[in-house]
Amino acid sequence: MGRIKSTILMVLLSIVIVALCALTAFPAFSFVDGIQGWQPAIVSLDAGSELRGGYYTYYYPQGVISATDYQNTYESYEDGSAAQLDYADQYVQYKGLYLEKDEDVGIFDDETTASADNVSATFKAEFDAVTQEIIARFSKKGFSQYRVAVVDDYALRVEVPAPARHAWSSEEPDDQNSILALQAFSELGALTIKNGAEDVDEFVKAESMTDFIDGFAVETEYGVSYIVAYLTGAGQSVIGGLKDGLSNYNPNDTSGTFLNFYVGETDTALMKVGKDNITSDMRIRYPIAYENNQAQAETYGILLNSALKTGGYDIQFTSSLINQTAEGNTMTFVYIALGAALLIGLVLPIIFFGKYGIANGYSTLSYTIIVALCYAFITGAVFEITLASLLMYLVGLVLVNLCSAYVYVAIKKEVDTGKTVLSAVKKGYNKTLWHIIDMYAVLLLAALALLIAVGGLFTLAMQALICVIAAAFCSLLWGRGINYVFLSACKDKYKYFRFARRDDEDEED
Amino acid sequence: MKKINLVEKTLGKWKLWTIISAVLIVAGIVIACVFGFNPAVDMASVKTVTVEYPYVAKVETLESVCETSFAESGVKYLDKKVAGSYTGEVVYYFDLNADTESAVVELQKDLDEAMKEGGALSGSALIKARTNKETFQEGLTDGFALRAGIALAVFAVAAFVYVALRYKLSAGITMTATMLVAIGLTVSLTALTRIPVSASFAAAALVAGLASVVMALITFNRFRDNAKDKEKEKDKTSYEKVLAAVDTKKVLILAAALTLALVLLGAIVPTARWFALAAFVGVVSATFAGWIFAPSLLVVLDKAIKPSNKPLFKAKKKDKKSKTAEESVIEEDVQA
Repeated sequence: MGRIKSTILMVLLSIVIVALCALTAFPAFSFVDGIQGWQPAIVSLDAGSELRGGYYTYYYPQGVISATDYQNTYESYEDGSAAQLDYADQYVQYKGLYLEKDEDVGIFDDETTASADNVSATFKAEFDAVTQEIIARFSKKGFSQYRVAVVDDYALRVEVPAPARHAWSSEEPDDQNSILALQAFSELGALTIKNGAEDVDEFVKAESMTDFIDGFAVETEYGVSYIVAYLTGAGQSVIGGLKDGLSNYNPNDTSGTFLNFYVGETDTALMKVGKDNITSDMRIRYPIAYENNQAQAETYGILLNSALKTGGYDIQFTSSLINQTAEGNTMTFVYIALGAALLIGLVLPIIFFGKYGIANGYSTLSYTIIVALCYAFITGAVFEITLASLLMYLVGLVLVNLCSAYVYVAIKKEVDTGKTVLSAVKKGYNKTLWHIIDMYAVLLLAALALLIAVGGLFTLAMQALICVIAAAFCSLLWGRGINYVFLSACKDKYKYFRFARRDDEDEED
Repeated sequence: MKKINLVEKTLGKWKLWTIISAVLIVAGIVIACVFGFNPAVDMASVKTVTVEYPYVAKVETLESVCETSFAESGVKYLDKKVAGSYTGEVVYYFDLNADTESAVVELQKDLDEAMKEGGALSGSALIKARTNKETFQEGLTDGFALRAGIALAVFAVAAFVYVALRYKLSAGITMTATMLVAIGLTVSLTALTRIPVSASFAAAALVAGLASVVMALITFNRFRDNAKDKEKEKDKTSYEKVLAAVDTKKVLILAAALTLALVLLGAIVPTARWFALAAFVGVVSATFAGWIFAPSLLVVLDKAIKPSNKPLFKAKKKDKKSKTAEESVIEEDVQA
């Protein structure tokens, strides 16, 4: 390649890299009208709870309140008034909670003898069962991190990540997946199915809805997620009989007749199944019509399966307000740490390898851009950025730079044997090619094998795939290409690599 | 770079390294089985003090009042989470043995005092503190450990097959053992040193395994390259061959680069400290496994599997200089 062509290509490459860096990392150019709201891609990373905090809420069984709620209500009465004493008489303090004495609530067997020591055994057993069910629901949801804890024996605190932030606007975070799970999973009632507003005799008389439904699953087709209900023989018979009386599916239709699926005592149906949602092989295939609806469909699927299998509980939870823990400066610290690592990855090669180090810098920046853009834009309800993701990025960064150093050493060895720079570069690349391919191949196998895992490790597998493929691309193709372009544009090839020129040698052009 | 004598001294002692690794791994498993891992706050049972505020002008002032009160009560919090700005709550996490019951009584007094006219929180009202005990139940996805184990096994088999095909059978076995040792040591040392672990710890163990694999591959690559010079290599023992293949400089540079990355992460990001430390233990384990354990094992296996110790698959490459007699005759005929 001629020097002029190489120089032009070098300039173009630089412009593209700078533009992509700006898109990826640098803040908005607020002085230009129309893109004032523009933000860098890394701001839209969906971060896990270790980085961007999380949402949490408390699930209080009916009749259980927090000490703060008790104190606030107690102090709202006039001091020493009958109402205040009456209110105080309704509750028993149990650690940091207050339990209602009323026998109808079910926490105590006898309100006259109610005390912290004689909570009903039935209530205890029921609460334990409910706790296990809540754990099962969240453990099936596949969050990268979550936390379920029992608070003072008779309440639950659940925390999930608050991953998302709008990249293109200053709106509040859109974390429907997290918030919906916290709201939906507190519902402990039974599964009921109504034909419009009417009860269905067969369903009411049955001991369990499992007589009619085997289970629920989630299917995604052409970007739309469906909740699929698999019916038993009896279910097919009953629902087949109702099918002709149903209207066609229309989520906005309030007057039509649908097969309504409810969990718990609520007026809001989780599914309003129309005639056309019942397939010819007698499955119910119900679309969830929202953005990122796979996450929503999964949440509803888990809830429906749970309600179907358990048949509902006597305990009902009251969910407190959903709190979002403040992000604080964690993400800023993350950017500083990654920025420092990147800077080292850019500067050290220049110090050690001269202009070859600059070419390596382009490769390093390209790797960072690819990973940042993939992390940012393949995240919609797919994965969250955790500390593990950052580590994976850093591992890739180290590998890109070390592979580059490895090639440099190989080229230097060839030059030391008396070869010209160009043939040494060719030989050096050839000699290291399979070493580098082998390394990335084994790492790729690791990333692929990890796809078998679940939760945070599955997330990590996808991020590892991105990092390994991006690093391999930069080490094996992109970095080499850039180096050839830079080398071609350079007049003194020895100076380019900081090699000592031998006096008896003529440099090739 | 002249090879560090350490490699020369350690190379023949595979039994010693295997015993040390096995003892550490077993000790770690025993400790993990008896006491469990030391969980990070997010995965531990804790006591909490929750301070709810319907309104405060500055949350930082509220935090300052709370933290001064805790210091005076002699209780030290492990972590805190702030939910909300003008309205919301601050949750402080304490060890299960902390006397938060007494501390919260004092805290409420200090808060009431601060809310009075002229106090640090004047203008605020109804700030209430309470303490609870939170018993951790679950934080991992259903089937997490089982599926992670299956994934590891699949990777071990796939990597073994790949390395055995591309290098040698002995290299395949060595690499699989190296990876398992690195992961085992990371998990065990983390259990033994009681470094707090969260769900992200699995990634630290995984990176240890991957780093050890890369380090072992550095040795295998040189081992394979050296083997091409058959004249030079034919009289060498397995010990000498492996000794010549260990590239200490490259292995240590890789370890140093990973350590530097972890230092940056751990030193700058407050929530990453324990994770970075666990990952650093992983890098140390990987360096031991890839730099010391793998070459030692390779010496033994290379010797033991010698009769069949050839690449299982090797692409045939025609060398112009080494034509067979038959090919030369055909060529001469064509030229004639």
